[in-house]
Amino acid sequence: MTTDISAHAPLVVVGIVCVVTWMISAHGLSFSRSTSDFYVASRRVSPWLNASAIAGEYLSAASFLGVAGLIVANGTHGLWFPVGYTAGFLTLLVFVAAPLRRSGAYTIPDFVHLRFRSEQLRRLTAMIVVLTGWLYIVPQLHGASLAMSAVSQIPGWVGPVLVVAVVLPTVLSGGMRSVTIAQAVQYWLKFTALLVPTIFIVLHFGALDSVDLPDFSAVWSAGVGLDGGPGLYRTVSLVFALMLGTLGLSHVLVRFYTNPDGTTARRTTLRLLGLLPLFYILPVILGVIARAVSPDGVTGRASDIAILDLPSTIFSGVLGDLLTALVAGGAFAAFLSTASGLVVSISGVVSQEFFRGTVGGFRIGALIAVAVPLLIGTVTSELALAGAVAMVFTFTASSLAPVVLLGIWWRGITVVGAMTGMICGALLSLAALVLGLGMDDAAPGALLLTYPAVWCIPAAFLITVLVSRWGPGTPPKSTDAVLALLHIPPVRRKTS
Amino acid sequence: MMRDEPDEPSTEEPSSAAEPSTASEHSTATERSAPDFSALRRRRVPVRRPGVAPSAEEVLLSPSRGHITPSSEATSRVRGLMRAQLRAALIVSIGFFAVMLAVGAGGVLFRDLATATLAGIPWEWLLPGAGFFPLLLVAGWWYVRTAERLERRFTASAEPGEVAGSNDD
Repeated sequence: MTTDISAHAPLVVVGIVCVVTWMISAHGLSFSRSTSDFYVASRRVSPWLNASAIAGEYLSAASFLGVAGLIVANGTHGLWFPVGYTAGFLTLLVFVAAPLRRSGAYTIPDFVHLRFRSEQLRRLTAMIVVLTGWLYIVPQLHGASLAMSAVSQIPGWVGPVLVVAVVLPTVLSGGMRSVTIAQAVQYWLKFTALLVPTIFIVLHFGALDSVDLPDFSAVWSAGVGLDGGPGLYRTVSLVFALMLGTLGLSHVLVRFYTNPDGTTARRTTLRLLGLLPLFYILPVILGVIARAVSPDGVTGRASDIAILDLPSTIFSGVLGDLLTALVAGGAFAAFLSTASGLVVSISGVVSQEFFRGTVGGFRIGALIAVAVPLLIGTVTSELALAGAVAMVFTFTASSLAPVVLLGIWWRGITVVGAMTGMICGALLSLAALVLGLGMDDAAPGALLLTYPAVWCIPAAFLITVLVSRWGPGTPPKSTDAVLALLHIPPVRRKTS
Repeated sequence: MMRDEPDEPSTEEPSSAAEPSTASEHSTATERSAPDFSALRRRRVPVRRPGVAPSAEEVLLSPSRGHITPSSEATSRVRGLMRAQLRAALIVSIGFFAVMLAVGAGGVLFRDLATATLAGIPWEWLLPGAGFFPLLLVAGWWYVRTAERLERRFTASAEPGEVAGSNDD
């Protein structure tokens, strides 16, 4: 009897996570009083709350399950993901945080409009932001499907439907502010969901004498096919993509608006550099342990659910079931939080571009935001979660990052240069990734196509610079004034 | 009582409760400076949604910042600030990337060092797994300190009227 009840524990916990998310958002309804609230939480969010919320939203399926999955499948390669993800916020901190906040722009398309004053460029940017959002939601839904089928007998399709069923009403009712609070809660939920099993497992091994410890010596081999040149290239390309791709994530950048000024925006980002590693050390530890206890040669689907399987591999009975339930709950918190942030971002952009910023347009945007990924998700096969997200980063780093970076720091950028760079970067990266997916791993050039960041991103930057310099058109007349706005810190007003 | 008129029926509650403090500050200021504002107070003011993105002029005319009219000298000082901050940003970001590259290359070239262990864990696992995080935090902290110092220096040498918000209200 006990086994039957506790075997359903994962579903119960997932259900609790969904209900709690729902309740926080419903409570958030009473907070959300104006359209400003609806879009950006009225700038009354404290830096710690904001940092927790950004971390909560940012830690997606890739971070929660995918990192450990890659460590199990590929060894040291998986370790670079947390480093790259966190380093992305370092680049955000030094290049973008303060100037973007000072611009007063809500989203990347808004910033582009302010800086370049071009409706065409703005529309193009909006389309890329929406496309990015869709591509990012798909791995979350895949993760939900995987997790659901891994911890229960329920068919896989229930997972994505559940995510949509919780996210959609959440977003439609409370907009940004309730999502902010729910995000912050979900960061600590995810953190706890991995911390507790880690503590149990580490204590378990610590208490045993070495006879019962799994054989760690086999763990430490660097990983199949990753030694030498190709391995180094993969790592460099990955970290490069992750460091610059963060600059193109509109759903992350929009959260910087909830800071009162540029200085606090920077300080929020600094707190993030502390919060993210605090979390990431856990999937790393669990991934290493999972690599030790799981059979050799686990790849693909099986590796992504490695930490879902881990507790029941080590602990039998009720404890194993409960810990699995906790991890499953945390995983769902990851899918829910990232998906809601993305849906809010897409909805906001759709509303502003096509519905003149109305709340009704926002709601239509939310529906579009979930419908397309559901469609894409059902017809595509599942890629390794972390790898799929890394591809999205490569896409944003090639298409949006050059315009954002050069727009903030370079006087010479023109509208034509920005458009050309954006289009070329988007097409190059998409083409490379799609071709690489279709190719066999051993085919010549496959490595360059599956990890195109090293050449794609610099190409996009170069094209933007060259076309701006020597192409038609001149920099916008308002350049000096806008740059002054972005970089001059406001003087504190004397209180009377 | 000032009320905001929602632009369409299917909206959330009016935001009057959200800004009571600004409303009372406003009224105190107007009371001090004399004439009869009761007629204005009675008029309802519809509040625009922020859904339409601000144009460059609108943002530059933002009341909380004053109007930024860069003179040529101000423009060159801004460029100086930008250059200094960009330099710090590039040092941090390229520096970190270089360290990461060196560690990655070192792991490939010097296999003996890479597989040497500390407390049973090889360095090639220890460094990417945990070692880079403190480095990121230190780099970020250094940057924030430097950027704020540069801004303080810029503001301190600003001439009156050059920087937004320096007018007394």
